[in-house]
Amino acid sequence: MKKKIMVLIFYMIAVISLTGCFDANELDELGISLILGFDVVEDKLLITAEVVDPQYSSSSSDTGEGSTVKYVQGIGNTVFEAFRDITLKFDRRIYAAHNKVLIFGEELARSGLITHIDQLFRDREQRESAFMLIAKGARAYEVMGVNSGLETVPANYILDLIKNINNNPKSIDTNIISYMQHYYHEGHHPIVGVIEKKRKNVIDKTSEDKGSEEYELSIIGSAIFRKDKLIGYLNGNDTKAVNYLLNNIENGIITFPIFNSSEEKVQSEGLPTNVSSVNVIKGKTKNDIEINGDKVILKTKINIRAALGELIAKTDVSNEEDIRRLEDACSKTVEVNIESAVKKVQQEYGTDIFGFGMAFHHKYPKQWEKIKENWDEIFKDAEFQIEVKTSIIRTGLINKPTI
Amino acid sequence: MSYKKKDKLYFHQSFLLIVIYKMMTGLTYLPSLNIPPANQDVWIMLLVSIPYTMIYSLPLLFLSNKFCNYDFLESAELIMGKRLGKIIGIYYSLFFLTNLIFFSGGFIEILDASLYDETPTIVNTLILLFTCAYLVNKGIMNLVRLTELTIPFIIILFFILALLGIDNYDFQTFLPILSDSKFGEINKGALLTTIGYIDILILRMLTTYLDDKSKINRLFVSSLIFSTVMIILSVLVVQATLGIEYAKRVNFPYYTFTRLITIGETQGFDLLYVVAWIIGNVIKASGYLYFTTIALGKVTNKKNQVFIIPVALIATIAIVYIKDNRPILAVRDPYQQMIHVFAFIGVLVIPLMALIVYFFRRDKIKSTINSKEQ
Amino acid sequence: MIYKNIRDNKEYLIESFNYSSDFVVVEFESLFKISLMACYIEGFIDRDLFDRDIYRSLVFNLKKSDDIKYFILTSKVNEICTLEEAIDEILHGRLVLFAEGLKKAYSVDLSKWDKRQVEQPQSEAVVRGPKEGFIEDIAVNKVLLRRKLRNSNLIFEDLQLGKQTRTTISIAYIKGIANQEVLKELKGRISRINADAILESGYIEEFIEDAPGSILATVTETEKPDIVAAKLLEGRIAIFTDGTPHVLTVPRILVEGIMSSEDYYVRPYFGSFLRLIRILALFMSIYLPGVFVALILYHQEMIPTVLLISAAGGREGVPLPITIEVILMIITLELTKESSLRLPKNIGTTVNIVGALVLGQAAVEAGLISAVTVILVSLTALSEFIVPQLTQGIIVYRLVVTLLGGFFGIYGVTCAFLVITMHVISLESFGIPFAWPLAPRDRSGLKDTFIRVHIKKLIYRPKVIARQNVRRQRPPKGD
Repeated sequence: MKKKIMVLIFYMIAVISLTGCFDANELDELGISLILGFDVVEDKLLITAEVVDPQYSSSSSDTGEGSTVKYVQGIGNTVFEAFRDITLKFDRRIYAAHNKVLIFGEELARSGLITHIDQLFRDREQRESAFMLIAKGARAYEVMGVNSGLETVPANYILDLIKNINNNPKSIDTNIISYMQHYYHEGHHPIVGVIEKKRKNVIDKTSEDKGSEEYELSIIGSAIFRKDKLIGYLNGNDTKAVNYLLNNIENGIITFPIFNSSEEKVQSEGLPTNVSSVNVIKGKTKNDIEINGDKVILKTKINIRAALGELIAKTDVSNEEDIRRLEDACSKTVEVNIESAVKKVQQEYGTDIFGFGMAFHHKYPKQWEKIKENWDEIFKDAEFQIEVKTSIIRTGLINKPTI
Repeated sequence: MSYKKKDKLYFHQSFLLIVIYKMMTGLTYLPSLNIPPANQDVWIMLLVSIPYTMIYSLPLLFLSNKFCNYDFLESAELIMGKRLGKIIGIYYSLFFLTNLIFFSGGFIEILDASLYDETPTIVNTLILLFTCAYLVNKGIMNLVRLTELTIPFIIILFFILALLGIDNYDFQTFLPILSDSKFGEINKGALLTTIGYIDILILRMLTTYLDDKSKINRLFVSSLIFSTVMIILSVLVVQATLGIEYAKRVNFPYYTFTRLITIGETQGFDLLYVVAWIIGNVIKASGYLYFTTIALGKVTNKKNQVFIIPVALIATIAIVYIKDNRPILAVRDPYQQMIHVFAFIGVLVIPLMALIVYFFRRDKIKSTINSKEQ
Repeated sequence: MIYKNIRDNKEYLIESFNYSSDFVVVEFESLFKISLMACYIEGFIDRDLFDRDIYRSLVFNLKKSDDIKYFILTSKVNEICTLEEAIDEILHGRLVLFAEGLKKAYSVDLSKWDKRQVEQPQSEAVVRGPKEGFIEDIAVNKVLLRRKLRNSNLIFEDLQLGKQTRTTISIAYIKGIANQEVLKELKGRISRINADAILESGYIEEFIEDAPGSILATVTETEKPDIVAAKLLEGRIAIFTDGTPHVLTVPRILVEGIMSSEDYYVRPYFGSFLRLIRILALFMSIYLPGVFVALILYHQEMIPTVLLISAAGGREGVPLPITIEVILMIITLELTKESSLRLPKNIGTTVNIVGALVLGQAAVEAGLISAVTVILVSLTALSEFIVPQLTQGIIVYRLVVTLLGGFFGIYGVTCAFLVITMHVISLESFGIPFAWPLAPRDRSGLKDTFIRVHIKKLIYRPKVIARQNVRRQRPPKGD
């Protein structure tokens, strides 16, 4: 009994005299940031944070006047210093644990990412699951603050765009952790999604505030890295090809020409005819490597299962033979697209963003030890072979095309 | 009020108490990730370490079986004589004390780094050690009951988290198997893992309380295999999620792994992990505290309760002193080696010596045992 | 001893009762000139019966003092030989008859006083199951139990406790099932009670419990005969106290707190579901405010973003720190609860409305407290009412956990969890581990803990309690 009281008293002393609360942060002391932007300005790091104003959620009756977020900026030699710089300009501590997206300005990305963002991994607040985006040809803060979606918070707008990549793989959703995985692996360079601010047509003439409404964001395309330095961009279709090779395809559309005879051609003017679109239901990719003498052959096998979405050609899909032709045409298009993307990457950048190095490593671990330092050189000159097999498993509500 | 009290540990109770020692290491800082071969073959290295560990623990296991009715100090006194036995007793109490200090220090460090970066070390340490003191004060029976109540939930949670994180796994990481690492490296790693193994000492401390003494070997083998499998699983999930290189750089890989789990919009599964992790670690630290006090109690012929508060205070002071100088886990070297040397002497050298002496003085010891039993 | 002379007896008794006004002495004479005296306490006995069966019969018939017992026309007659005994009998509501020249007296049970009707206990209302509850009269209570267990092995052992109150206590158990060790221990502990007064079974509880310092009670209390019967059948022992409808049963285990008699009367799936809900409620009512405070103050990264933003929106402009806010709300909740409990029913409803209105809406609208806190504390209150048996412990634990959560975040809450769990595990009730069958684990006991399996499969009584005759029934054929 006495001991129990002793222990209790010690507990109480611990509780009362040391009154805890060292790390306590009342919610009204925190500025919850959802997006962080990183830039280089005059050889210094500039951080832009999008901080939510929590009051918008409590006063839902108010008619959306005033913005739901505030933007704050801090500058410093390191990320940490820049964060601290904010404290003397903004009334709340930037709370970064709920960051959804990190946007890097192009200039920073070109000078090397990992070198400068050590703090993002060291600090307990930062989440490793945050997505990364590169502001193409712009500073990060320039693309922040655009909200042409319905979400009240701009961050959610961007986040939803990233989530839509699942439906349209013309971009890539890299988060910090997958970036790091590829960064450390010799046979696989990272590739990161891009974000661009684009002018858009103003249709709604009644709207009064046109300021931000004239712009919209687009995340089509991707940025290629060698280790941690940005070296160039890929357009949407090439990014899609990369996604195929990375086995990232869960959904997405393939549009391809379909001819009933050799004379038919895609019309050069007007809307194209003789084309078809299918929706990918499942794509499975297997990368392989073959060493033929001292030549390295990159091989890819892709199996696509797709549902017919649109058919603008006189092809009877209720016919086994025609549907096979359709499948072959689809496969052919994918093959061509991917081939051109690989060729482009090989010639222009010479970095293996497709993960063939990993395939090499898995298949020839002994040789890999010797060549891993200059894998990119080998990749550059390697031959590429691709084999795509499509099977169309659904044809929609109608069978013969409407034309 | 003890007309039915029976101080006996059942198999599953002692199993859980032993298993938690290794399992919590896996959930905390996973040293295996950085032990050679330190690549995708770590799990093979861990498997290889099982037979090594068995051989390594053989002397102590033999003694545990032979002297299952005597605790370690009594058996040491029987074999080596009174004076030497006392010295061995003091050695083991110091051994458990250092383990308590460094283990708790590591725990506090993770708390500081991942949850409470501004709270002074002393506050966290005091809370830990007074919780432990309370638990230990209730005696070993209640400690194992607490274990058997909470640890199964931790194990279940472990599997649930592993399932929840399945979206983040990249199984390509584990290819190619067994080709980047040399045979020698794997064995070296297995040996290093083996030296860190002290669970057999915990088992030795528990043997006198065991309900069924014929199950000591089974207990040892099953707990070793189970805890190694748990470590392997945590290595696998961590490497599959973080990638091999990044996992090596992270101080608390499993925590990072849980932070990455998201299901749709829901995050915050790290909360579950943190709760389980604190529970497990407090019980583990309580175990160290208990064994320290019981060893001290045996040496001085006093009840172990007398030592709980003093030992807890000494540990607090030591932890604060060490921790406020340098991180223990992130900068491992001097302390980790010390612990390894301590463990090596405790698990292998002393029992081996005892074993040799035992074989020379077998008849005499047997007659002492017989006279004692009569 | 008893005097031959009535007058001496009368003086002695009146002296003993200190001239108390409710002590009545009726002196009368039979037609055959034999002086008689009847003593009783006003209001304790049935005057009509006395007039009809004793007074008249004696007045008309008694010729010789020795024949008196033949003319007492009721069956409940005892011969007593000392005046001390007479006093005792009178205090227990009997009438004592003295006759001139006799060295003994007769106590006649004519007791009748106003009793409450047997009705449904308010604290343990059920939807399905018997609705009757114990009342204040011990004899009626015994009957209520006996009607559930028509079994000659059901034994009541009566004794009296309390120097001043002389309360009747009855220990009830089923011979052959009850745990003999517990019974022995219980009798020992009861015999050691040296109390001034036993006004309610709570007094006994505090005298016989194992851990007086514990926040949780180690003795169960119930008002329902079917529950007592079930507990006796599990090998427990009940203690009836005269003057209270609350019957104690020992030993107690923790999981009794989450059981309800209804679990066994409804479908097993539903019964099991209710159990799980109650376990959830138990945890929520203790830990929810603490975890909430810890999350809001320390671990904001673990709250889903949308939730965090709306919580932050609610907190905006609230003057109090969150810990204090939650604790204030908890206290206010207790205030409302307590005030509505003690008031007459119709006023109680008013208090409820005022409480709900003032605390809930007005305070949130005035910006004094945040809406999340209100929701949370109401949830806690709801959970608490689901496990009424454990409420007394829960409230203390909840405050401690909330404080620790406020000071040290989830670390404090977890440590509090460990300490509380350890405390519960280390408790014993009459030598039975309180946390059985969870720790130590017992697979057969677990069949009736988190879930309630089919009655057919509940073959054994709780093994740790019933040490003999453990098998309840044969396993169903074909299994």
